Order: sequence, then C-alpha cells, then structure tokens
Amino acid sequence: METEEQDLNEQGQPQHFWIPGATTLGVVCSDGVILASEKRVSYGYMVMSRVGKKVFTITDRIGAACAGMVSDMQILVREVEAYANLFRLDAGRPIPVKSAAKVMSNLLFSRRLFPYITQTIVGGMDDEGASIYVLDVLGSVIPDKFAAVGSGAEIAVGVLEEGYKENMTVKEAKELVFRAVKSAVSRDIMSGDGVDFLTITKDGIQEESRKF
Amino acid sequence: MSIFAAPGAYDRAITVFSPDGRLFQVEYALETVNRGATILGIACSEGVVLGAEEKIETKLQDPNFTWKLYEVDDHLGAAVVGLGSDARILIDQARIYSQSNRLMYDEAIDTETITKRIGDIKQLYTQHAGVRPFGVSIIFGGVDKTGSRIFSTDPSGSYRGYKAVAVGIDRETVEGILKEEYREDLSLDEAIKLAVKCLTKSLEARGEQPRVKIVVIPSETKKFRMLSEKEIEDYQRGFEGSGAP
Repeated sequence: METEEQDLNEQGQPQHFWIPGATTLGVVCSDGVILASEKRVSYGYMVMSRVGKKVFTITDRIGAACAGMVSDMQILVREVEAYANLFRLDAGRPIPVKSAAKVMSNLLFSRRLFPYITQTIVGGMDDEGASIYVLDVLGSVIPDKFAAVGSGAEIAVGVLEEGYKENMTVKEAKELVFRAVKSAVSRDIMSGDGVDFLTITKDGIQEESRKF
Repeated sequence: MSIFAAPGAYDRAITVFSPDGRLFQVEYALETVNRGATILGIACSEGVVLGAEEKIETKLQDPNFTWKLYEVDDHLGAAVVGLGSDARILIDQARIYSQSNRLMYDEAIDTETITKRIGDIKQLYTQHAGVRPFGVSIIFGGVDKTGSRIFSTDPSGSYRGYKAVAVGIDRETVEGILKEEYREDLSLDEAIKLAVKCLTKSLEARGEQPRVKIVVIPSETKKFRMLSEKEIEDYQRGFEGSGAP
C-alpha cells in the first residue's frame, strides 16, 4: 500500500496524506487460525502510539486483523460485529466466516467513492473448519491459506512463503508468524513495538501480546 | 351482551379486537386457506417434497402451467394455498429476500429465515389500518445448512416447523395418512410416493379427477425439481398396484 500520497493543493503546493503503516498477518492452521498485527501507530515521522491494537474480535469464533487508518478499522469492525450478532439471533446459528467477510466487503464497497482506508484479514472457525479472507480497500474478498497486508507485507510474506506448510498446528504457526513480524519490523519503519496475536481454535478466541 | 360476541361490529376493521379477544378478519382469512385445494410438505434426511392439488377449470388449460408450487431459490420451494393472487405477491418478496441474502452473506437463505420474513409481512397486514390480511398459507421446503426443513405460515403471520404437514380442505384426511405412514428414515423416493398417495387419495375420496403436482429438492443436489406428469403417473400406478386399501 502507498504510505505517502502526494497531491497539489489549490495554491499548487505539495500536500501529504499520511497513512499509518502496519504489518498484519493471517495464517490458516490445522486446528485454527492465527491473526497477528504489530502495535505501532505512526503519523508521518511521528510514532503516535506504541500500544495501538489492530486485531479485533467479531464473534467468539471470528476475528479480523487490519492495516491502514485505525479509526476506519475500528468503525468497520464494530459494524460487522453488529451484523454478525443480528445474523446469529435471526438464523439461530453463528455467522460463517465467509459471510462475515462478505458483510465487510459490502460495507467497504458501499463506500467506493469515499473509502474506508483499511486492508483487512478476516479469519475464524466455523462448520467448514478454519479459513481466512483478505479484503482490500474497496472490498474484494480473496480466500487464502496465509496472507500479509500493510507496509511490512512485502517482507513478512517472504518469511511466511518460505516457512508455511499445510496442516501446521497453531503452536507451530505462531512461531512462524512471530518470525515474519520480527523480520518486517526490523526493516519497515512504520511497524514495530510488539505483536498482538488473535488465536482462534474450536475452543474459542485467545488474545496474546508479545514484545520483541 | 351475550357471552359469545357475535361477529358484526368487530369484523369491519381488522385492527379491532372483539371483546373475547379475537380478530375476526384474520380468522376469516384462515377460513379461505382451510377451504383451498390441499398442499403438503414432507421432510426426510434425503431431501424435501412439496405437493399440491391443482383444480382444473377447463380441459383447454395448459397442463404444464403451475400456480401452487413455486421455485423461490435453487434450494428452496414453496407450496401455497388460499388466494393465488395474494400468494404471488409473497412469493415475489420471498425471491427477493433469498437473492438479497446471497448478496449480503454469500450464502443461500435458511428455510426458517425466509418463512420468518414472509410471516413478518403477513403480520403487518393484521395490524395496519385500511388493509386486509393475506388469505394465504405457505409451506416452505428447503435444504439448507441446517438440513432438510419444512415450515408453514398462516395468514396471522405465525409459523411452525414440521416433519410433514398438510394445509387445505383435505387437511384431516391427508394428515391422517401422514401420521400413519411418516417415518424419520423415509427415503426421498418413499417420501414422493407418500406425497402422491396423500393427494390422490384425498381427491378420490371427494370423487374428483386428481391433478397432482410434486416438487422435490434432494439433499444431494440441493436443486429444485418439478416432477413431470409422467413421473407422477408412475408413482400413482405404483401404489395402486401394491394393493393398498
């Protein structure tokens, strides 16, 4: 994702729109899903926060990890959460991961002309097992086994590509994810300050925060 | 005032309760349904079967034209009884709901959810001023993530789930047969046979020429399919030959 966009204002002077960077990962395992994101929130050359949170729970078996504008990701996830609760009450069963991703996609596409600036990985467990979906700013939904988004994605995805195996356990994959984030933060200036994990298994969601 | 309030003053506007707590217009709508030609639904583990008796008004009628069984979505069918024109409006709505569920959740709508949505519409028409209730009962049958399911709504908007159900003029006769012969482990073929038998028998009892229509949604394909006239005739011959009383 472009982290700095240049444009000219009415006076013909350059303007800067800073979009916070991030390193955000999602991995499908044999017994669950891992979502992870580092904690830095940067506004240009300023580290606004070292304790930002870019992983979210949507239901007790579905979560999301985001990169981009923190305000947008918070609003977006809260809205999906509301629709997920309504679905559960209406249908009498929890919303499938694919449907939660689709709801988010619809919300993103409905703002096509004034988008939420977020790349999101929606992941979780349902009757079909573990799965993740990657969504871009306008709401494309792409299912995957592992994915990385944000300014650190180029670095992190290389580590995942090399280390990912089918049917990894959550325990094994967590170390791989940690390694991928560590590689990214050491070379991406907009990522850093620790990792938040969201581990989703059939027993529920477990949150963990680690320092480097 | 007598103990049993006679209809008269309390059936002019549907939003008015009678002193003993009844909504006469809604009850009259139920009467429309109970006098309609019979429909039925049967669920088994291999799928669902919907059936309807269609009255033939003239011999020149197109035999392939069906007005009591509708495809709502690939995996979902409906059988209607009562005022056919009212039913079409609700079926149109049901089709819109099922498509919008696919857009919204990337998933086929649950049979119970669609029944609830249509029940919601019917309920509105028992409470608003200047309208009359829908004179329709609809049996929805579908194969969704929760399995093969049958639900039925009445004109008041309430709905219930069933293993097998019949609505219409021959309800009692048909439910008698269903209670006798329905089993949880019915195969789809047996369920079709049972549906054809129920409708044919009830028509014969009234001495009318039967015209039975059947729809199946097998769990395997989850695809709505209307049986041809020939297939139904084969089923009818099947139970005549078996020497059933």
